Amino acid sequence: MRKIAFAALIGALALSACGKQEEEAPVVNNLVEPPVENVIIEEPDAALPMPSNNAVAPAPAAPPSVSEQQQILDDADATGMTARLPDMRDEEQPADEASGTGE
Amino acid sequence: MVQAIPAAPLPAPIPPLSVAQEAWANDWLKQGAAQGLMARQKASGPLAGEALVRAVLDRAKALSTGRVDTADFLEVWALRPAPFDPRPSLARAVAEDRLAQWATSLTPPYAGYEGLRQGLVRYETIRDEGGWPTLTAQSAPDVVRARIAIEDSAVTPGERLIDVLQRAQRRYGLNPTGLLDTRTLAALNVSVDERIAAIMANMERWRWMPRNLPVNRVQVNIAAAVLTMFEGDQPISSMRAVTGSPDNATPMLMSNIHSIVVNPPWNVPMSIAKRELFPKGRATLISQGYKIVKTPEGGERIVQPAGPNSALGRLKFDFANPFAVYLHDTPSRGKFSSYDRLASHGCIRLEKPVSLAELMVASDPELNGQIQSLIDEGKTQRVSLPQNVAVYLLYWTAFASNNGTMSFRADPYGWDKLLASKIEASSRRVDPTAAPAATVALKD
Repeated sequence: MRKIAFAALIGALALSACGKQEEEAPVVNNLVEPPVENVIIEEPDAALPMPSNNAVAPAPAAPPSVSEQQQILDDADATGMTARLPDMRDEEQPADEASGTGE
Repeated sequence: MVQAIPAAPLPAPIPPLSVAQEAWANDWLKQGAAQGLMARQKASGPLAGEALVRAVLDRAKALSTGRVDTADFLEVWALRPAPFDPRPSLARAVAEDRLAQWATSLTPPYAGYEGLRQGLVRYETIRDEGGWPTLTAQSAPDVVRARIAIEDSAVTPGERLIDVLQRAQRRYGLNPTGLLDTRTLAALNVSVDERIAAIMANMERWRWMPRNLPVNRVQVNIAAAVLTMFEGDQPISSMRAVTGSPDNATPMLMSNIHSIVVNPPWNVPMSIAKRELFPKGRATLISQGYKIVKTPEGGERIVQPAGPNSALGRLKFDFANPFAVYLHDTPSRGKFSSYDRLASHGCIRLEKPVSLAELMVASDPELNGQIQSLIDEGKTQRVSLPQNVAVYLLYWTAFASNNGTMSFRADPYGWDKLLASKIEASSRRVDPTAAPAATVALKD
């Protein structure tokens, strides 16, 4: 008898865990209507200003117009600014002279 | 018969440094951080004699060919610096008392490196002054404007925020919407230490570049997915590209484009075939136009015949490399309008392949202007270029514009952090002036 009761309990638990058999929960209305209060609401003098943060504006701006030549130059920068630096060999001083300006 | 092994040449003797030269050398060694060889430098006493010469030689090699030993490179960092022994040139510089001139000649002779060097000074100053505030979507316009002005000196107090944001978005390679969207916020909230690490990593990569480049060449920035064609050392054309996805990194390398295949079939690499095509089943593959052919070894491989829907499009630009990557056309044009263009298996898809091919064959009267006609013939044929065109696949995530403002790109392969940590580790190991790094360079 105890075994049968235990099996029935397991079966009931298994069914409810799978969600195949849901008993309707009894309706319990324990809400209490709050009392209506007389509250004087002071209206603001003027409407609050809308946030002026353009950063959160919903519509994206049109992309800035860039000429084809400028785009090539920008892309060249991005792919590696391989323009050579002027050769500064002849502009350097020997260490004996240059070191006078050091720390 | 036993042959005598020729003795290795003795290293060039370095003449003793004068007192003034020793003072100059000690001052020069203090500039390691300014050259991106370490995030921070520590105070160290003056060196003398052999120890000073050793430190100078080590620094010279690091400035010239990189702090990180090539043995510590990833395989896909196939752009390797030429070997460099600083000893003979240092010996001459000491004898001729031209140390400062010698030091100037060590670093890469390119505007790109110099722009980064100046940018590094600027970002270290920003770091030392406390960095920048973290922004949120609710940050006030003045706060956003002030944050961007820390990096962009062109920002003016009354400037429209949309314009300020669009300029920042262009510097970060983002869609210039003028909105403080999630990606823009993320880019603005990257810490100054991470930006410094990126600059250091890019300076190191510049040291791997050859000291002379052919005047006619193609340069690709893998991270930005952009290609530029140079002629006579001047940029004459550029286009968007699609480069390798983070799981299929496009390798850094230099090579020479020797020919163009018109209407190429695609011999699908076995790695892609196994992973993406064979699982679909033979019937599906055949219905999609693929051919399954036998290999001499008794196996099978997949070929996609030439045609408008071929993954390689109508043109393939061939250059020798061990990674089987190349530049090619694509039938999938939609990706080019995207700002996320790291999506290939490692090859580089081109937005305007016909115009690039035309530029490459322009000096041959028989081929000039004929590329489209050759495509229209529909035949698969290989066109040898009149001259090889050098191609450089590079990975730049930080670069300075002509006005000195820094641009950054995301680090899609994580190579910046990895390289910055290798630079720091190497400096701490061998450079007596390197301070322990306490920055982002050691994060993950």
